Amino acid sequence: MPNETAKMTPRAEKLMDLYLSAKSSADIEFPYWYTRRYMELDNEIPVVRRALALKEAFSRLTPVIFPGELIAMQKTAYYRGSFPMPWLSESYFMAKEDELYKEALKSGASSADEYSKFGSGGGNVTQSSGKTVSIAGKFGMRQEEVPALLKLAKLWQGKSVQDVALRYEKLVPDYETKENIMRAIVCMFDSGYTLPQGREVINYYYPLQHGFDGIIKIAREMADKTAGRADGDGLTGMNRLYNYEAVIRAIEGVQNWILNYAGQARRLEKLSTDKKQKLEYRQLARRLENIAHKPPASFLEAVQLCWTIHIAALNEDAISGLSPGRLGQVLYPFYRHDIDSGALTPRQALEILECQRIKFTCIDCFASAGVVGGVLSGNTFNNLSLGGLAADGGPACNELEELLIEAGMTCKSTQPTLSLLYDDKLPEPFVLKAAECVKTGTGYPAFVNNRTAMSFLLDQYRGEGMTVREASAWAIGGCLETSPGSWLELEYKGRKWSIPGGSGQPTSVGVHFISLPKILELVLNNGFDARARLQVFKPHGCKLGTYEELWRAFRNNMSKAVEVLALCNNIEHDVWRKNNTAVFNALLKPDCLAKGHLINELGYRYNATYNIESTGTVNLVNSLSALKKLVYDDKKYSLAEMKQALAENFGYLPAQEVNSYSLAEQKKKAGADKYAEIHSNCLRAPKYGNADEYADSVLKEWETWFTGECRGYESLYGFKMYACQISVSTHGAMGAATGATPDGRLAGTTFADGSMSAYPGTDKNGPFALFESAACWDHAQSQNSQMNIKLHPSAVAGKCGAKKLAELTRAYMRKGGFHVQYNIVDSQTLRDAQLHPENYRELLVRVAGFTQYWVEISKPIQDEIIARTEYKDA
Amino acid sequence: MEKTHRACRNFAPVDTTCGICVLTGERFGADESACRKMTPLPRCASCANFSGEQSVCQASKTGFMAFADMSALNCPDYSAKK
Repeated sequence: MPNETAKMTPRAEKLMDLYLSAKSSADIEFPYWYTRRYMELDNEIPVVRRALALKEAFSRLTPVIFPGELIAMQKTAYYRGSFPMPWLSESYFMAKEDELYKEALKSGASSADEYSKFGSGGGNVTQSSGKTVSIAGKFGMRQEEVPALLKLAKLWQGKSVQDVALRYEKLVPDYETKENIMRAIVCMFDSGYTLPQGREVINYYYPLQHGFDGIIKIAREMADKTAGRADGDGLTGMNRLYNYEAVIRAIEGVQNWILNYAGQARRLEKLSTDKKQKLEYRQLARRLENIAHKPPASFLEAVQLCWTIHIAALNEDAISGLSPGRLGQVLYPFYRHDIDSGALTPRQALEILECQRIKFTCIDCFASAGVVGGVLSGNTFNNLSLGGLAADGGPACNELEELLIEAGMTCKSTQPTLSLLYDDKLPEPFVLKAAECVKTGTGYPAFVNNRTAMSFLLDQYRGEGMTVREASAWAIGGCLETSPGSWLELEYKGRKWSIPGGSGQPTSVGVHFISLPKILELVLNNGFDARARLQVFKPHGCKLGTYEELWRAFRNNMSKAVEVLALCNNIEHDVWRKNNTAVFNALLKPDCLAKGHLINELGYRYNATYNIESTGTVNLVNSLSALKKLVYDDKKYSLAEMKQALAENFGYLPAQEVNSYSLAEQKKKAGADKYAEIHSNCLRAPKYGNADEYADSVLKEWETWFTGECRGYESLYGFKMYACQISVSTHGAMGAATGATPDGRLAGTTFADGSMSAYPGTDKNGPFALFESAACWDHAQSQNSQMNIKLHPSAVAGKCGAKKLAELTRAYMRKGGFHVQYNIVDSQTLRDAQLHPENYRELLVRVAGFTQYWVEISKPIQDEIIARTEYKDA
Repeated sequence: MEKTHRACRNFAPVDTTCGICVLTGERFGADESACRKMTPLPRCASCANFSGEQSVCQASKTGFMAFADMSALNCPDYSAKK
């Protein structure tokens, strides 16, 4: 390992400076060409029509190479660029006075936008100025382009996935309940047209092994074999010809795109007067010319190819959480060869990996304010997994993965965030290296439990042939979504390697984020939402005289919400797969090329990937616990008294009046001490996170029911769904739309993050008690669980610090906990950063499954992070 | 014709407001005046097929919309106005 690596390499430092100065910028070059070609192709087979439109768009993009780049290409001409995809959803970026936007508000599709906030600093363009127009509260667009964007959007009116799906969603019995759920922000957003792909692991194998020309050759041969043949499948057998045709056209577009960049590199080579830069442009051109057709011939070419594949997939669809997976294991054959042959040094590899980090950090995803601000906090969750087990059952970590961690320390940036697939078989120095990285305050790697994940995968995908060996190829897709993978045999320069790659559909699609405290609020109010002034659920009419009645009414409302949301989202995804299916991303995944079917026809090896997401688990558990204790067991207060106190926000002003949804800024009404006692008792009621059997039994009952309940719903692909328990940033926006809760939380304030993090300040017995509480249920029954812990730097200071951190983590993993991640930061620093953001442009914090720049996250989430319990002794 | 940095082919746009001259490595505002070495980036505005009045591309089979500011660097139908 290089010793001189404490600092970022000069090249990466320059590119990082460029990133830090860049604003999120959007243009319409890709959507223009896509739409223009698509509209010319009436009556073409839908999958071919889409592929031809993609080919056109990729072929026309303006290539821009920034001086000093070792790895070239980006989504658009801008350094941190993205673009809207009106074929998915055209309404949210329309002017607010436009009829389309009004319609979106009416259906509840934009309700969450109103409650979603962005950080005002960093690269966010939250306000229009000069010739830049702010769109969706985050992206800047040249004012010259805005009228054209609106024209393009109108061409998709009534044709986008959102609009077509809405027509059919309305045919679902009880659709009105779904609309009410969205308007009341019981659910954060729809799935099928917002981010229809992502939260999955990409697969780079086929281009790495065969090159793009090789894949086209395979597709042509397979098309010859399948043309005009049903081969016993009267429904989709004939589609194989069209699918192969689409694959070829999409690849041709990507090849043109790469070659246009190669042409730009050649042009710059001619123009450059600097000898070194001239040579670098020439070498870059050669690399691009090679990977446009052939498999990579070096480590750097392999890195460039993987990056190109990654952004090509991202340009195909609105995607967050397209994870590179176990990239250090995928690239290792190329690294090993170049190191052994003397063509590469570890120091050079580190420079390449730093440049790769900056490229990933530049990835933006253009979506609505509710999605990008309220859920993603501007992050796009390209999560790189480390460690885990190899195909032979031994530890999978390697020297390149250590360099990836090193690059994460020298080049601190938000992406790719790192996740260590923890297994007791991993060598201690590797785990300690990861702990050292966490200590630097990056918030990564997160630690996730390899064995728990494998158990979940074997259970969920058994019906599709998952084996123990195959389960070990998994990785995290998105911020924390357990995603299935496969081992594929790569031959490189005479050696064979088993490399892991994603082989499943998006794993976090289906029902997006149900607010559990909001469901409870509606149960207590007989289905009526006071904020939105809506009867969301039909009145249950139950007196809620016992805890069992309350618990039953809660389950009924939850089931009603999940049912109608699952049905509507199935329709959205069905429209997506019919009109807007993945072609490029799909051809990468086993076994599309072999089967001739893409994602929409179950071409992937694993398809049982749809989930039901929840937010606010711990506030729900604490609230149920408080009601059980104060109302039902001790009978200290009647339910009516409790409801009254909640309606009066325990005597505090409404968050709207304070004009803040932050935990730290709530104000008491003058002279309103009437509710002080009940509020105090609610706060003192048994809380999760203290190894307290009373509260933990409520958690266990909830988890047992919820994880089982989710299996009872069916995705559009005909598979059982599962529970997904991460908050991302929804605990901010959804908390803002929820009244006071019986656990003492005030109206409008942020929920506890994740699903296993304690509510700030309520875990009083230290981290091991928190682990005890969290591990009271079987985490393998859920796709994930999420725990964030804040440690004061002094808790892990010095040489023993990494060891303490590793032991703390191991203690949780051995109890069966799925995930833990750490913020190693002094709360005083965060408070100062709130007051003086200009001094903290590069400060990173861990939110919930991802690391983000402090200045780019919203104030409610900043306040929640400040308020998290800070352990001073690990 | 616009003579700003953003209208030059040697300008690498970092974002909507600023970028880098690839010849000198210097950073400039996108709307600042370009130097004498400016190489115009082909745009719809400078294309003979662009009908500014109707905002359409006359080379398109369907008379598809177009707009003056659009980069036409890789447009196969681009034909510089004489």
